[in-house]
Amino acid sequence: MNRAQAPAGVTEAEFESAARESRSFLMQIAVASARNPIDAEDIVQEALMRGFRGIKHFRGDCPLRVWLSRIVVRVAINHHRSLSRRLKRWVFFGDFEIDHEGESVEFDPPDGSKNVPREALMDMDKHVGMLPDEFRMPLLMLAVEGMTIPEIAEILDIPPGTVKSRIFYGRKRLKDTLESKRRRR
Amino acid sequence: MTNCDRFKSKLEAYFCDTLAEEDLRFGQTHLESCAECSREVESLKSVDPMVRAVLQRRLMLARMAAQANTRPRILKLGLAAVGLAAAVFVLSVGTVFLKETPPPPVIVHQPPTVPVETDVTKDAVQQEIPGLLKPKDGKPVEPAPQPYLDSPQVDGPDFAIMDAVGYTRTLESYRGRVVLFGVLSPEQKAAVSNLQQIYDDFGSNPGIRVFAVARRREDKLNATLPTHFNNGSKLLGVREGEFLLIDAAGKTRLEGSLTDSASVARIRSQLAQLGIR
Repeated sequence: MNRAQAPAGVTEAEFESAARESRSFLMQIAVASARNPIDAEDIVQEALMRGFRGIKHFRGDCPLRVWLSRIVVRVAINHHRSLSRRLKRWVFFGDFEIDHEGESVEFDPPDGSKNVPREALMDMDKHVGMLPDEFRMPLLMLAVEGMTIPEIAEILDIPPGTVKSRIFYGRKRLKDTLESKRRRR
Repeated sequence: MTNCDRFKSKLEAYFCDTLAEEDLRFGQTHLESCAECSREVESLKSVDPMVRAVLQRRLMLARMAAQANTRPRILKLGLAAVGLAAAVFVLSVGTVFLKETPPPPVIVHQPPTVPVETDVTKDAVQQEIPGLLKPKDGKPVEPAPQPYLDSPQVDGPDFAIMDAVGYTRTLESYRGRVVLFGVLSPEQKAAVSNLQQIYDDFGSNPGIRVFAVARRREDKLNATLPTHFNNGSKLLGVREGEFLLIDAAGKTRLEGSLTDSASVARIRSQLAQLGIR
């Protein structure tokens, strides 16, 4: 890439192709950052728009997809607060009800995790959802295939050591919740 | 302070990979001998596959939402309005009913748990799609093991490994250090002990990282040298029983088989050239 010669000069076409290429990656980042996964598409959409508008601020000191991922994380944090989104979710909800009734949707994760029993998965989803942003985001990003600690650190804009320690405490909280539930049974 | 207390006080550092060499060695030996602590570490690691499954599930929900969002908005608004009106109607009628007659025994089947989160939609969506994640066959399912990406994938990265606490590492993580790794399996006892020898002599030097890469996650090498697992990468083309020595600038210095002692001597002399002692 000619990023070295023209650090700020990302053309429209370059942006478009980079956006297309990293779309599924950004989607994963959005799902990892959003409280509600059904907002992810909106978040990516909005982040791409903001990125396109603010491309002149892109200094080229990191890959474009990392820069876009950072916007995704910021948008995701703000997203939850806006009321209009919440209304939209209701709209989506109405839609969902009609459209997917009776339709069997296969859930077939690519790795071995399909063996996790459904109840446990729902439970875990709830517990993950209850983690504060600062623990949930790095933990879910680590689950994105091939993500390394330095990458997560760059996207979340915190030092790698902090990422690791937050992942540790995220794991610990989840483990403690699961264990205390098991004990109560 | 007992050994367990000492280990537990360093647990965060163990997972954050910030243990000093001495503590790391202590931790490894302690984990081998102490069932309680190794259970603790294992149960912390066992959270990962669950989180991965949660992410996959959320991704799937996100994709379904994205698909649904492509339909005309006017229709959706109409549906929402109808839904809202219906809800208001049911609510008002329901309260009138409740005042006059005792409630019928069971009409609405509600889930036994009370969601702590006030995120109504999320819970609603979860209830909308029952049976979505049910296993296809009626057999009881076991909890998920680690996902296996131990064999190289065709489109995999050149080098990506998973360390003992579940972090993915690329060569970038070792930039600035000399790296010596061997791809090993427990059957290759000679190769394991050769690499172990080098680890014993040079492992405490902060300028070098010596480790083994195992192909299978269940492999136990019976050695104290750190063992990582391949994570779907081509491992730079290094085959089982072979080693690769990379200098601090990321250049390959030496490669070959680990099974004979001649290569051990070559590694030693190369390390001496690189100023590692």
